[in-house]
Parts: sequence; structure tokens; C-alpha cells
Amino acid sequence: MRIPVRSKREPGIYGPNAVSFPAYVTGFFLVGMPLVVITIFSFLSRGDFGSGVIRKFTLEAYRTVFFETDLMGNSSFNFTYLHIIGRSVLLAFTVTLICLIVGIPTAIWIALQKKSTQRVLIALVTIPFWVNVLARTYAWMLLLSEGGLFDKLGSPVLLYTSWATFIGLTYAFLPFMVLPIYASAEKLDRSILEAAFDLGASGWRVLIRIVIPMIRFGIFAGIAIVFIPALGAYVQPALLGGNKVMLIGSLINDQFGESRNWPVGSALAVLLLAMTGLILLSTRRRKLEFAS
Amino acid sequence: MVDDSGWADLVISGVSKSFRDPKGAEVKALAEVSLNIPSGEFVVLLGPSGCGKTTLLRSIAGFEKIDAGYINLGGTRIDLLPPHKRPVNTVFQSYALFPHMTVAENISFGLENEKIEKREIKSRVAEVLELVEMRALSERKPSQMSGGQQQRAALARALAKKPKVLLLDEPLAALDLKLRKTMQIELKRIHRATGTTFLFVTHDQNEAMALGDRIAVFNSGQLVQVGTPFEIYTAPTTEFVANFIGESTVLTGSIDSRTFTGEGVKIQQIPNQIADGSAKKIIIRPEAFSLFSGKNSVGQLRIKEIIFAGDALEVLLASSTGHEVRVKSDVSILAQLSVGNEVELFVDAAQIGQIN
Repeated sequence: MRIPVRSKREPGIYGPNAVSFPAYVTGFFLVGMPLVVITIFSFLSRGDFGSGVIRKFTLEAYRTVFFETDLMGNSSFNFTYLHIIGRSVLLAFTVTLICLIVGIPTAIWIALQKKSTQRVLIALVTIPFWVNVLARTYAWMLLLSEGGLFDKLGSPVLLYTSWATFIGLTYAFLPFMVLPIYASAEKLDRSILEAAFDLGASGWRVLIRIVIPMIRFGIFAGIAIVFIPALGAYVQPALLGGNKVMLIGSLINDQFGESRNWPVGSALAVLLLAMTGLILLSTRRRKLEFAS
Repeated sequence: MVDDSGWADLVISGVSKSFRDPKGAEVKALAEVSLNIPSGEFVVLLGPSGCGKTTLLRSIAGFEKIDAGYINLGGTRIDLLPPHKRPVNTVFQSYALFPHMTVAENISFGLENEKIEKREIKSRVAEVLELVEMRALSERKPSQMSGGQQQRAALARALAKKPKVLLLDEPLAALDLKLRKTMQIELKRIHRATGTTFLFVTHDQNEAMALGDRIAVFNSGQLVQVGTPFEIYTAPTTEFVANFIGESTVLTGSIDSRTFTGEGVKIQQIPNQIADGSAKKIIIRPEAFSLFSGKNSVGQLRIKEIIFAGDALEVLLASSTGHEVRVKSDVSILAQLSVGNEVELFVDAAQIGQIN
């Protein structure tokens, strides 16, 4: 007999030990250290010749992000950077939404196929991963450019517009939405769906009241792994959007490059990190609410 | 052929269904099955696994499309309707409770699909929870309940819809023996209290006899016999039924002037309703035999095996040709028996039946 069991967090058994040592080393040097360095940089002063930092504590970088000072020395709130952050959030949100709308039905549909068909379909979903993201983005440039396939089919030339960025991001992240949702939909007990129909529910109600709540963990995972990278995306806005519309990823890149303002670049990176952290925390809170 | 009258009767007429096995060969799951179930009856579909009983139940529920025949309920044809439009409900073998909902939410889900007032839903939920004695657990999630409690919740969820026919797909198979017995009694009580038609699938012949007003025995897609448990047990019409329901000894031989001869045994005083002839099959239940004393002696037979079952003895005898004869006896003679010895066998000839 199958009783659906809720996954429970079991504290303690995954504590540090010899086997997990490499993971801790990797995590410390490749994740922890860079974050610490960036956070420290954001509180230091700009180097004498622009690039680099000098060891002098200041909140100047954060002040630059939020305030501007005119020639008379008056400070006023600066919306420029906040606009860029807001625009990035909106874009990431829209990309996530479209990935959800397309990804949920796709994943459920795959999970309802025969086992052998499922394997083929999942392989098809993962095929784009075999090709480097840059190569795939260049392919989209060709498709969307003047004289490209979309142009020939009568669509306006979208290359170097926000639409191109949006299309490129949605394309790149859709598999990341489909896979975790499929992983939970595939575990759905068919008799539970039959029971819902048996109790008089229409297909739509079975989807909303039974299927989606039962695959919610897959959906949360999908949202997290689409929204977060989409928020900081750099490749697609640069190549497809032609960097015409500033997004936070490009902005950070510029601060370290052309603008030669490492502290401000670091401060923006820290703000981006804080935002994604808050979003992750809020989905975790929702998870707990659902589970209780 | 089938009487279609009766207001809420379930009429299954000439229903056939084939599947393709993984190799592509056609497998007949149901072969022209016809069965008429009057409203309020408790009917058990009994048979070994793969006999078609579950396919028939799923066809009535709407999860399988039948290839031929029709299914009527209360004079309306239902086999063309989708599952959610049929006035029947199912209790699944795996219970199929919604894991993210409490017991009360599971039950009200079915009622919310109809246009029922909130207050009415609440009282109906309370009513069925009372019926299955689950009132105290209404706010529990399925994962917080035992198998028996989940079983009751699944039953309540289906009954809350007030179905014309309740379909039960081996609902007790996952429970241990003691709990199963308790639930059998519960089911009988609930059946009486609701007056709903119950259609219960099982492969367990004891369960079938304990529960059913009538039993429909299936074998490889065919409906082989329908009758009350008493009829099925005392007058099986085929060797399959005789062996599947209870134990029995089947003897093949000829009958001449009320005397049966065959398989190394000779039985006198064969009942009149069994006509003379050759290649006759007679069936004798273990309790129709007795050892050491009786009226109608069959002769001396060798003891092959002795099984002590607590309240009774099962003795396996072998005829002179080696044919097995099953005898059920009082435990008091245990001390007088030993394997390999010969013992005199008697039979109550009135209990001898004939099969085709």
C-alpha cells in the first residue's frame, strides 16, 4: 500500500563529517569567500586611479546607490539605480511567470505519459544543456536579427530590444522550471487523480485543488531556480538586448569595468544578494505554512 | 435477457473489454458480462487476480471504456458518461485520500463539486463522520492516521456524495486480519444504515461470504456463477467455483443405479437429482465426510496428512488411485490418527453435488 508521506527535515544526521568535507571546502572557497570579499569591498573606498579599492572604511558606495549630490552639495534621493533594480525584478518576475504558465502544464503532461515516453521527453527538455549558453544566445541573435528567421516570417526585428532579452531569458530558464515540477508530478499517485474525478470534480478543479497543491514543492523549487538567476542575468541583456536597457547584471558589470567603481559594484551585488535572500526566505515561510 | 425494470437498479449487459498486453497481444478482461443488481443489494465480485472483477468495477466508475455492451443505472445509460458525471463513488484500494487536506476537507471536496450550500456541506460532513465513527479525527491529515482510520475516512468521503452505487475496490486488502474482520462488520452495519447498493471487489473468498448478499464469481474475464453465499458454497456449478470458494473434493467417474464409481472410490446412495451416466463430476465438501463412524461407508483410505487448525482437523486422504480426498473433522479423534495408516471414511450423501 502507498501512503503519501510528507518529507520531513531531519536535523542532525547531515552534520559535518569526513565525507562531507570536500563539500565544505568547495563551499567555503568558492561561495563563502567571494561573498565575504564583495561585502568587504562594498564598505571600502574607491582606489586612487579608479580601479581597485583602498582600505578605508566608508558608506560612500551605498550613499551613491541611494542618493545623489548636486553641485551645491545638496543630497537628494536617487532613483536611477532603484529604477534599474525595479526593472530587473519586473523582468525576472515576468520571465518566471511565463515559465510557470508554460512549465506547469508541460511538466504535468510529461508526467502523465507512459514511462518510456517520459524518458524521451525529459531527454528532449535537457538537450539545450548540451550546448553552451553563449552559443545558444548567439543562435537567438541570428533568429531575431534583421534578415533572420523571425524577420522573414514577418515579425518586427526584435534583436537589441527588451523583447529579445525577455525571449532569451524565458528560453534559457524554461527547462529549469519544467524539471523540478516534473520531478514532483511524476510521483503523483494516479488513483488520487481518479479519486478527484470520481468525487465529481472537473478537470480544471482537479488541477487547481489537487494537482497543483500536491506538486507545490516542485513549483517552489522551479520559481527559486528561475527567478534568482534571471534577476542577475548578464548574457542575454548584453547580447540580445544590446545593453540598451540597463539591468542590474549589466550595471554591476559596468561598475567593475568602464565606471571603475568597485565599491559601488560590490554594494549593488550585496543588495542583489540581500533581495534574493529575502525572496528565498519568503518562499520557505510559505512552504512551512503549507506543510503544517 | 436482462430485466431493465427497477428504479435504481444497476444493469450490466453484455459488457466486454479487451486490453493489449506489453507484447501487443489482445487480452480479454471482460467477456460479455451481464449482471443485474437490485438497488440496496451488497454484491461481491470475487475471483483471482486478473479475472476481470476490478476492470468491471472501473468500467462502472468510468475509468475504463467498455468495448461492447452497456451499463444502466436507474434506467439511464451511464457507460458513456465521464467519471465525474456518474452517480457512483469509489473507495480505492490505496484509499487515495488527498494528502494535503484534512479528513473534513477530503470529504467536503466531493460535496463542493456539487452546488451545495456551505451549511449543508458542514452537516453532511459531520453526518458521515458520525456514521464511520471518525468525528474526533476530522482535522487530521491522512499521514497522521493509521491504515484503518484512513480506510474509514475514504469510506466517509465516498458515502458523503450519497452515491446510488458505492464501488469498493479491495478496500480491506491492506489491513491486518483482525482489523479486516472489524471493518467487515462495520461495512455491513454501514450498508444497512445507508441502504446504498454496495459493489465490493475482493479475491478473498471468506471476505466475500462474510459480506455479500450475493457473490458474483469471475474467472478469466467470464462471470461464472452468481448466487447467495449459501448457493455458491453448497451448489457450485463449475469445478473452478468449487475449488475457489471453500475447499472440496471433486471426483470424476460414472454413476449407475445410485452408485458412483471412480478415482478409486465407490459411493452409494447418490442423490436422485444427479442423473446416471459416465464421466460425471461430483463435488463433496470436507464437512460432508466423517471418519470412523457414519451411515454411508466409502471404504478404507490411507491418511496422507493431518492438519490441526485449532477448532477443527483437516485430514487429507488418498484413494487407492492416489486421488486426494479432503475431510474436515472434529478434533476429538486427533489421537486416533497417524499419517500412513488407513481409516474408514463415511459420507453424508445428501450433501453431494454435481458440477459441469
